[in-house]
Amino acid sequence: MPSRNNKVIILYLLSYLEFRFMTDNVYKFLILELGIAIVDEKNMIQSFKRFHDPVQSHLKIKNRDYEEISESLEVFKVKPELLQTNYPEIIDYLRNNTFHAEKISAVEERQSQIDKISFYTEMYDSDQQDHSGRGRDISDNLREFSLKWSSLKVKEASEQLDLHISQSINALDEIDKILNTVGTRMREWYGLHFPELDNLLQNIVTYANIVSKVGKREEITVEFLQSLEIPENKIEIIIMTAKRSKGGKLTEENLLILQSLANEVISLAQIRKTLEDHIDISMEEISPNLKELLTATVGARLIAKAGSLKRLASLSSSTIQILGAEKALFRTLKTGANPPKHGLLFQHPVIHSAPKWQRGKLARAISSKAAIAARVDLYSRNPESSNTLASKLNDRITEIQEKYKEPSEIQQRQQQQNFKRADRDSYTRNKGKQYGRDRDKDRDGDRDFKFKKNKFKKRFHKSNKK
Amino acid sequence: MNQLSLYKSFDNGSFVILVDQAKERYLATQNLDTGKSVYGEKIIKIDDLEYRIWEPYRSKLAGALLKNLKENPIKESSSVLYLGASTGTTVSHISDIVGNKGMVFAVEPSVRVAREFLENVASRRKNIIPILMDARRFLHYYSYYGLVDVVYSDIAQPDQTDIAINNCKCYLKSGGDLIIVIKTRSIDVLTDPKLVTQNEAKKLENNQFQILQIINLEPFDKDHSLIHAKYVG
Repeated sequence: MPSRNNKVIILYLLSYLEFRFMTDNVYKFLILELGIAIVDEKNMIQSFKRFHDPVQSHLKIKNRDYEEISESLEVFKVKPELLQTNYPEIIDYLRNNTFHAEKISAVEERQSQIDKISFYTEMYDSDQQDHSGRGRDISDNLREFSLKWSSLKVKEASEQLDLHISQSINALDEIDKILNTVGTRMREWYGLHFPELDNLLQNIVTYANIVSKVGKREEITVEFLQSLEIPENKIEIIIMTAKRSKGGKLTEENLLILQSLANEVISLAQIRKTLEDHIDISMEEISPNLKELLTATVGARLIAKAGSLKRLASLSSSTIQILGAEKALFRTLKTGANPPKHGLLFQHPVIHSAPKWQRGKLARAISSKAAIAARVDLYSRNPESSNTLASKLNDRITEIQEKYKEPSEIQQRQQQQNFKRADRDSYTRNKGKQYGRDRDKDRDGDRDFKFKKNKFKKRFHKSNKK
Repeated sequence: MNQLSLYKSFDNGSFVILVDQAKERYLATQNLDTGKSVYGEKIIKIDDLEYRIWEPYRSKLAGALLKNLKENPIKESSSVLYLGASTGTTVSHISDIVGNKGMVFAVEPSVRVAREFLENVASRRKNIIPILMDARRFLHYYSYYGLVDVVYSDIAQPDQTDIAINNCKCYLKSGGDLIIVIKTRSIDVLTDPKLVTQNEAKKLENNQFQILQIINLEPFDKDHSLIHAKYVG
């Protein structure tokens, strides 16, 4: 029996080899930039079809509209045994049309690159144009196509919503920075006139409103403060302190400039508000699952850091966990210091409110679910999955919070050590502030410091020589 | 920089060296897109010809030329496959060199950078064909015109050498040149830059390349080196 089986297999193999090599029914189906070429085994052109509008035709093929291809497939009166193509996306389509289809091999790809110029010249010959400027004509057409094609890609990419999200979150961060600096400057300046107000009002916008709409401290009225929704007891204190303030007088010119500064703060705060709302809405639209797990701002920051939602979805959860802590990561790789537990994810309310020893575990749990959420958002947009993801994550978070209520013994020891080290550091730092001989004596005793000192000396001399 | 004058011009029309009164040398190429400066470089007119200064701190090829690249394979009317075109600083100079008979195929995956490249360089120069694709997916860029004489690769990726080799195998004619800029820090941050360069050179030698020259780009770019190799396959 076995020998018979072998015979069958050998016969089958032989017939396959015959089919593969003896038939000349193998064709290459090449999609080029300016048209479709069908080439036989010996690289002789069987048929070619020039695209009238190459960009449109390529767009159609990209969007799986295979009208143009099917037209040129009608060339075959007898269906070929095997079709090879240079365009991997259409293999499935060719197979569905009862063709054997496969990707062209690398060697043949190179060969078709070599032959391509002749393909094009023949393509143009068939159009019966004059032969004089043909070479130039082809390359002009090629250039025109590639310019149009790439501008189309740029346009397509600029229309993606996640790019707008990352721009708006970056704008939000920048406005926060400006608001902080301008706000503190305004408080400092107005503090010359009414220093006590700084401690009484935390909210920068109400402070700016007082400065811009009232100005001098004597003119602050109860009604105005009420309109700003300040609590009753505070209004009393403000009015009282305004009467016996230690601040100096404010000239009209200074007041005008201050008021325009305050107006700037108010308008910036308004922009901030609209940006925040916008991020909230567009995150709901583009990646609801990520928003559900991480809150809108943290999710948007992750997208901005990764570059786009597509790129975020391709990242592993461990990468997402430390996204934004690149500096610490490279320090780990170079010096072997402790790896970072979390990067941007630290801003997640669960993590930054948790005790120190839980944060690493929480960051890992959250990043693993965030990675899944990003993929779901990009590829399926299934709203049900957010519930299961969020509930699973919540289970895990409560589990961590209960299991690791207290730090383990090792962690406790480490913390104590860290404390000791910090203590010692501050001690030696204070030593450095002492003056006189004692200070130098102490430093000489420290071998490590001495070494650094010598190193510094050497470097200093070297640079002097130059 | 005052009053530059022509110091040396290369026969094959590649590039020129200008010199000022203090005898300091500057690289320059003849401007194909007259009156337009691409990245803020100076434009100089000498005898009705317009030259653009080629800054070695901006373009690694210029740095290599100043550090004695023995033979510049990019000449007039040669066709070049340029991987990692970015905003087109070096591409514009290469386009100047190859002239109207030559061709530059510029591959760049990042859309943001390509926007500037298309606007400032590719749409203004007739010898550049932009290809907006990842050089890793080299079989996908069907928009291609025969084989090329030179492959220039300047990609900051851990597998940049493999990408260059794959592209060469598909698109470089045998006997053609490969110029590859090795960014050692993006291949491996931890190991010594010299060792990384050696490893990459070895990789090329195992893939039918003959190493002609290795240049350390030290004063112009830190931890970068440029390898000039010939494809024998």
